[in-house]
Amino acid sequence: MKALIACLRAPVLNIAAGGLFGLILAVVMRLVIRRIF
Amino acid sequence: MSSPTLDLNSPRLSAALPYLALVGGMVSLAVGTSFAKSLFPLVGAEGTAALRVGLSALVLIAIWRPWRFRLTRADAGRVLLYGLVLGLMNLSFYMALRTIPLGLAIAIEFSGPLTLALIHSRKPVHFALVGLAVAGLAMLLPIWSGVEGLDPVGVGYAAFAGLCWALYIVFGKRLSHMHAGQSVALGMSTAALVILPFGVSTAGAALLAPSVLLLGLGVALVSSALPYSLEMIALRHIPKRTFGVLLSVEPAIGAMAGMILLHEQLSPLQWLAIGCIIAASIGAVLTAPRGQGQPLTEPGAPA
Repeated sequence: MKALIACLRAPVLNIAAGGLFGLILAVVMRLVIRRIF
Repeated sequence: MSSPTLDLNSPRLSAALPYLALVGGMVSLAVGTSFAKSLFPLVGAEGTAALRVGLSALVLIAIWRPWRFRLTRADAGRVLLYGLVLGLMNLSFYMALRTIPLGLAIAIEFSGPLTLALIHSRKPVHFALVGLAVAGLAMLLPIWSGVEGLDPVGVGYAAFAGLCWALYIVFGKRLSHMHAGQSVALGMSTAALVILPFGVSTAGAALLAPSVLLLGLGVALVSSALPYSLEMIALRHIPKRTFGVLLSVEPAIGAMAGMILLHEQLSPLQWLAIGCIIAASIGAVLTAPRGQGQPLTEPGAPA
């Protein structure tokens, strides 16, 4: 956990991880929305 | 019997006025931009941008009379760059509006200042904010089929407007030592010179028709002068951090104005995307170090 937090303190890794998280979030949210509507 | 009257001196009302001014400024900007879209059939997006920026520049020059202040050669270069990106930002934003809804164009454009705010992400919480922003943008990218499939060219123009917005903030900060009225008047004049050739080549003499000029003046006042003035009033009384948080809802106000005035219906996914970008923007303002809780955008900025 400490190593992960240390990684996120580096701008490049923080943005890369955030970008990946965002893409996964977009796919998940799209699937959820399509299920609901 | 006493009749209910509005007490203009009540402390509650005077505390609420700056917030009303800020909301009024954002609504005015969205309404003005929706109104601008009605000029597209007459003079095209390029002509509309030329009218808005050109007439705004004339109004600003008349108000500030920038020749009263000294201008060094170095500052002139900075003003030219500032005006160039201001012009390109307005032109590409209006080009985007031809094919994509207003709220979505503003949301995509927000990626510029948001990237600028998050580029030095060092806190673990920023990872979630980057994620929200990327998720919001990814949901708007023209990679989905069906109702969510936006025009790729329009998305490209909006993204380019976002890049110019980020540069506008960077170049604007380099002018902070100059008189604000001088820099904004000269910058807007440069922007007008950048856009004018595009406007003239598209609309030609139609730009000078009295009805078009009158409509253009209305657009310039409602989408530039009025929001700028209201936001400046608000900024004087509202803490910068709160100002930035409130300004983050601009894409939602744009989407609502588009829905009401232009009948642009958004899908649930697109509303969710706007929500993600607004949340990322609010988060970026709130997690900025104390004293640097700057709004992502500047008063009277683009859109």
